Amino acid sequence: MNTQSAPLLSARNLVKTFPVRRGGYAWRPKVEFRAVDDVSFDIEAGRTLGLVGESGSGKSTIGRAITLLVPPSSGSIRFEGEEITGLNATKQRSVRRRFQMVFQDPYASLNPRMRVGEFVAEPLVIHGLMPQRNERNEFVAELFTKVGLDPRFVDRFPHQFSGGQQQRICIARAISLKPSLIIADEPISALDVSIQAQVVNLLQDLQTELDLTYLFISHDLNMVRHICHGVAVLYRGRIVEIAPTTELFQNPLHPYTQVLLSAISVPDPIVERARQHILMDPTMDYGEPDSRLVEVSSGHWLAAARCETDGVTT
Amino acid sequence: MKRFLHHLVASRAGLFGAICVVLFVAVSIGAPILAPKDPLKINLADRLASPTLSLSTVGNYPLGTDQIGRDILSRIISGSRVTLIVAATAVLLGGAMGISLGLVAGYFGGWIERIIMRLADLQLSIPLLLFALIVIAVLGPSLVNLVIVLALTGWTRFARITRGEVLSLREREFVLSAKGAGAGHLRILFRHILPNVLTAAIVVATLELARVVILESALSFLGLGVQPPNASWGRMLADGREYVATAWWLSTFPGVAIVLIVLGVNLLGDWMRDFFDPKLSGVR
Repeated sequence: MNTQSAPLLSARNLVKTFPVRRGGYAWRPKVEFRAVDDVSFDIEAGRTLGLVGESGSGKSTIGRAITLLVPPSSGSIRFEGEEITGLNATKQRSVRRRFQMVFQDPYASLNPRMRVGEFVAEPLVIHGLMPQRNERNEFVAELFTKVGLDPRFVDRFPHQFSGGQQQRICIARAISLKPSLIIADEPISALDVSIQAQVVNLLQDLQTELDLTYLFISHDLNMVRHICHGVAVLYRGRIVEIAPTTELFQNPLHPYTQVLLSAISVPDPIVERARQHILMDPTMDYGEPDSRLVEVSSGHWLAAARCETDGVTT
Repeated sequence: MKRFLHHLVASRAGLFGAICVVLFVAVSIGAPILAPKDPLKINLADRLASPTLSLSTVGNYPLGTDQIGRDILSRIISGSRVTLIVAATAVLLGGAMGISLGLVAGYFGGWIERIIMRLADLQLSIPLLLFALIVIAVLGPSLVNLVIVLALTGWTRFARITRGEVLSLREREFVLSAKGAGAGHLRILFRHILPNVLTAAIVVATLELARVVILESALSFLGLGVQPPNASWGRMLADGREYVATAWWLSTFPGVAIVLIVLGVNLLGDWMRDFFDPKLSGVR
């Protein structure tokens, strides 16, 4: 297992807090809400790490912190061996070329006033690549073909496309800079089920073709199982369990992971009806407030209370 | 351009608006040639002559004369210059000011936003005529000062609308995605946010234009705007008020001109908003 060289991306003790006032009343003192709380993980080059958890568990915030769209409050992010937090504006710009993001809502991700070809070419213009218009147009046409769109559509506006096509446009834009990492923030959850598989297959094809690494944020566990090599389970801003996909699905150890996996529906009514569900108890706190990840078997890490782990380590 | 014309002809309201606007602009450009008589020439013998269309006499006034015998048609034609220039520059100036301040306020937020928006509130809290009186009293009445006053009273609407739009656009994913692609603030503001704000701004601009034409007439009425003997529609409208019972044509015709230009601009603005919205203008 431990044959890995330096991982492509490694996050250590990532924290993002937001100041909030309880109830939104201006006279109440601000308290810090920890959306992401001490999160650490690695992604190796060419792999896909799934990030799963319920709404509000901090999935998207992690994605945005890694792409530096929201600056992390503390912690370190190393990308290709280089620390990317706290960079100045120029350095940040150049490092951004190497990772791109695909968002959940493809329509909101497209500028309604911009022709899609122009939109796909924009990152190239920003970074001053391909200053020649002809060359750029050719490349955009190539990208369109690569994501399965007709290159003749470059002069159209976003609303003239279906949701799946719009997401393909977003993907084309994301790969235009030839990044090594793509953070996909629920890229398929806004799409029709019949389209989801197509887009996921496209993502997989591009992964092998362009040597991409994915951070795949999702709450669709079936999809995660299908495309991810490893899965991290997030609960209230903390990672409670992280393991290779097969290991996690066969041998979930954390109670929250068990609840989550039990919620996957089986597309067979007889099996589904007979199945014993582990129901989530919303009043229960599944996380240990003061826990850390312990490796229980090769590559399988589990959050455990510090007192227990102290016993293990000493 | 061809598509532009084609689309314009297809929309009847838009075409009507465009014709009104083009007509008035052409009239104001060619005013010295088009005016049949000297708009300033007083002819007391023909005072308050009613509109006639007889082509024979020299003293033929198609739209009548005012209380000191000046030809109303000629005055409307020469007044169109003042009115259109004042209204257009005031709206453009106010719009440019309001949109840019609104963009900055909405996009950057924080103390910049607080300062700009409180400034707008301050502006709105001053009674319009009082504000105009103070500015004109300090700077003296002139066309330039009139435009400045009108622009200063108009920018707040643009700023508020723009800021509101920016607040919602700023959180949209395409702005995040531009940021993620390494775009700077200027690119995000001008390529991604501004084009999406313009729809709302055009609507405000057409309403503002109407407001400015009427406000100009009010200020001219108070002697703060266009100075006599020069003609402006607002001034003519105001001057004709006391004669309305006996000589209706004094204020009716300038009023009709104001109605036509305001209506024309509104229709044209409506059409432009639709035309520039890719969603509404169909497959192109």
